[in-house]
Amino acid sequence: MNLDACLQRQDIWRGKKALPADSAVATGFAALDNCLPGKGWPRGALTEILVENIKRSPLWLILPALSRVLNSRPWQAWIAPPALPYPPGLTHNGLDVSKIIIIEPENQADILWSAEQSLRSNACSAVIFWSDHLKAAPMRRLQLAAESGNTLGICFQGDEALRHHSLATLRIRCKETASGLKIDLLKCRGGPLCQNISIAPDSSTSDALTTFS
Amino acid sequence: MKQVRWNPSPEPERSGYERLAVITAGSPILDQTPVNDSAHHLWLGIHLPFLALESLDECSAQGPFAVFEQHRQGQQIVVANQLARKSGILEGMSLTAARTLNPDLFSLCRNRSLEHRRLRQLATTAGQWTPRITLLEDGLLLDISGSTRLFGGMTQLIEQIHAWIRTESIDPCVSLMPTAASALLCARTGKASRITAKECIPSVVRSLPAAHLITDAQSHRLLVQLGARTIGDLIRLPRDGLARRFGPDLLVRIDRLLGRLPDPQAVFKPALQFKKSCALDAEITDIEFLYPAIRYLLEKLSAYLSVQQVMLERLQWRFTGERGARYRLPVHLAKPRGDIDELERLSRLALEGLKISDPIVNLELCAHRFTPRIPAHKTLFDQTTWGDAHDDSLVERLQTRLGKHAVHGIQAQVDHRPENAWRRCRPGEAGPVSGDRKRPLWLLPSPKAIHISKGCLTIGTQILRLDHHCERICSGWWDHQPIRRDYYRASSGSIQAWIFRDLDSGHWRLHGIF
Repeated sequence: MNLDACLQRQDIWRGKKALPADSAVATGFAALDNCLPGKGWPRGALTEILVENIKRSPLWLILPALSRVLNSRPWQAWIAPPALPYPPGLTHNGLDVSKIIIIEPENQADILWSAEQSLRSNACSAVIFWSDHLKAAPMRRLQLAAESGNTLGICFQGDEALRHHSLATLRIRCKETASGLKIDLLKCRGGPLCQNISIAPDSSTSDALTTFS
Repeated sequence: MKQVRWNPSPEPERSGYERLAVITAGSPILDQTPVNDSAHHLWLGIHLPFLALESLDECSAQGPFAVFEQHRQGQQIVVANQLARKSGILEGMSLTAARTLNPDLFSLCRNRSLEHRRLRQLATTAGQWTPRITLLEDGLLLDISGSTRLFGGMTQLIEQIHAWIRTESIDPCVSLMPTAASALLCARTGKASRITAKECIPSVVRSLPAAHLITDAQSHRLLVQLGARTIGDLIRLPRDGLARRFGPDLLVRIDRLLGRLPDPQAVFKPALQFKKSCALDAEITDIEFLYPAIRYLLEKLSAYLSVQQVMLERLQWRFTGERGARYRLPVHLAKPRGDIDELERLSRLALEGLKISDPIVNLELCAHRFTPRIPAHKTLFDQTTWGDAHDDSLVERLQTRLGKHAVHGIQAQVDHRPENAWRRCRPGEAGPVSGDRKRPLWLLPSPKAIHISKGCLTIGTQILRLDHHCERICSGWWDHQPIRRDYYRASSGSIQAWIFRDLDSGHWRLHGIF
């Protein structure tokens, strides 16, 4: 293996500037982008988003990134959403719902299986799943699947996962505030752990996204 | 051109006779004149005299057996087997007369739908020689002009078909003629002719009774009065006179018989169906041991698919347990497939969820939904980063393991009522683009109650602040799900909620989250 091939690997850290251009998908929120090593959600990796109430997952946080990657591959998998992702609302925000497949497995094992299949398949531009706490082994497996499929993987989990160690590339915690969300980076491969990043739903800079409120 | 003739016919020599070889059934056919003329057809008429008997399950009966038909005058024998014939029972005889001749006669009423089914089965098998098959009332017509070269010449082809039909049926008559009508006529009258040139048709059909061309009784009487007994007599009569006396239809029939007019035939399209079972040597409780049998059946299916030039839309596995338990396991395909490896992978995936309580002794593969095979297109340079195979195979895999209902797409629907403004659909199906009204990203499956305490709307412990903007939705009176609601956006901390007040009951409800 020569040096170039070596440097192509995702798990070799070369400092902030050396990351390949397409290694991240811009989040659409400038404040958050500036704190993340690749200026966005890491592609080909798993991102854990811990929220206070999984039933109120802030979809608007990931929507700009989702619509940005949507056309790169045929599908986008949403696994075990806690409520109905509402098509009129999604299309109004610039997301083409015809590419979304909603997967509703009956148990945790099937959630993990579907997530792994979708991440590995090379057919999904992004895989978002809502899950109970992930143990180390399945998390590692999903992380590897995301790497092999070079897929944007996002996992929403409840706050109780805080007590456990994470194997994901990026782990953030969202706290609801009066104006929006306060985000803490709990784990961030290749970057500093910024705290208290405030973002509001209407501060998105994405052109695909119509602003809220 | 080499000219060979067996059993020279009593007809005088004519110029068109070079391609003629009239033979008796069973003697070798030496004339193998290739047919290059595209408009030239070769019809193989197959007449099955015992079809009415053979189509019944009781046809293997050992004793005298006959099939009768109910007429106004009484019951009339249609066909009788050899044993019955020995005792003097003939076609057309009344059933009472036949019973007098042989009191042991076993008789059944004719069943035309069974006869038709039997013919369809035969035609499906005959499809291996030619795609152009016509079903008749009492036999088959095969246009073999397009297949002679493929099967190594006309002689070989006819011999193959003849050998096959003799194993399927008793005393079949196979006759090769250049027109459909003449092939049919010769087969029905038991003339096993082998004619390839149209010019020779008159010499063969000339001696056949004219009654075969005329069916109604009145014309039949007229025919007798004219003294025309054979088809040859009819052909010799002046055409205008014939048309005047018997109507123009007869001329058309004669012209079709002799090949002067085209005679298009309805083509039989066999129903596509694949069903094959495999009895297992030992009772199987471990699914792993089923895989070789599955592979074997899929290989058979693959051969069928390539012969029929079709692809598969869905397949089903059926298992029979030792104690009679039956399992059915459908395998859904997102798009038509013909590749056996992918089918095997999906079948294995579907099998993973199977719980066996009864050891399996028999395995069956059924498929009856097919689509025509579309040749695969490949670009010279692969421009996409994902392969074609990945496109639907993910959905397929997910659906096979989780069930079809668990994997779906969503689309917007044109309706003012929020509950009806969306629907589930097949993955990838595009719906209408919804309007420019702001809608929440999450919709609750059923609206959640909001309480009012101290004059404030509260949900849990949080107080909701209403936006001043209100949207009134009144709709749905026509399908008995009317709603009258005022929708508001409300916020509580970071949560943007979509709530409504029911105008009929006055209750507040939470319906969505932005």
